[in-house]
Amino acid sequence: MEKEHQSSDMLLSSEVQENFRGSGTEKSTRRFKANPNFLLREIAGEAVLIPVGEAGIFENSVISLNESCSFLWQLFQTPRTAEEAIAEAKKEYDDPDGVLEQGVYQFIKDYLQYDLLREEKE
Amino acid sequence: MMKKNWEMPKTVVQRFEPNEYVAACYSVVCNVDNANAVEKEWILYRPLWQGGPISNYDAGQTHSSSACGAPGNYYVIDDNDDGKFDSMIEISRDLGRLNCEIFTDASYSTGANWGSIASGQTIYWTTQSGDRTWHHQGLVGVADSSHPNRS
Repeated sequence: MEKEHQSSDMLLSSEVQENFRGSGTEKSTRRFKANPNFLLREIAGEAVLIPVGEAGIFENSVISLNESCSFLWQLFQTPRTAEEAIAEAKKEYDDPDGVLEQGVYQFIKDYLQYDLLREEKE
Repeated sequence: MMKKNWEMPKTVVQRFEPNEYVAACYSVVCNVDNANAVEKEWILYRPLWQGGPISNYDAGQTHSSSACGAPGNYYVIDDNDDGKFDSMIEISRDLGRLNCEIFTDASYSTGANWGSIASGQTIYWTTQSGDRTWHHQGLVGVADSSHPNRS
């Protein structure tokens, strides 16, 4: 059985961005961290998340990440805000299509939804 | 340093069915002489217009040392790694994977529990393919420890 979850062709709604950015020009202070129950490993040239603790809905699953997901996962090994992650991604990647921010927000949204990313409590 | 082009994050989740845990390794081979003797006495009641009663052996359910009597033909499965049998399958060259059903004795009338058997014991089991049934029996031995996951 294969379930594919793809962020790339999803348009980010303004409401999603508001969740992480805060309203107006206010910067969000919400910080996110990768769920420590999953480790990133490279297997046969592919980046995959390996469950090492409570796998939840991902029990008996292989989670494959593309390059940018893998990059973001590594970024979120230390708690960061969405804006900080975007700034780091912009240092690393060219964004000719202007979709980098959208991709980072969508990544955070999706990974929070599946408990792969967790919000750090103050 | 040249930057890489950003590609939208993509995550693919592939779910898989875990394999059965196959750890306890026992050698199980069918005692083909005894099993064929059972088949010769095992009468299938066919109507007279189909030729009348016939033994299971004559109907083609035979045992040979190159099939069920060959070492490595049976796989003993320990699903939960508790050291006890949970099931056994035969990998038949001609018929593929056949599930084995265990019985208490050569009458093949009372089902037994796989978990109750151990090395050194004679066991009785059947395999089925379509409407054909084979009645096997054999001694359970401990297999070569260098040959894990297969018996």
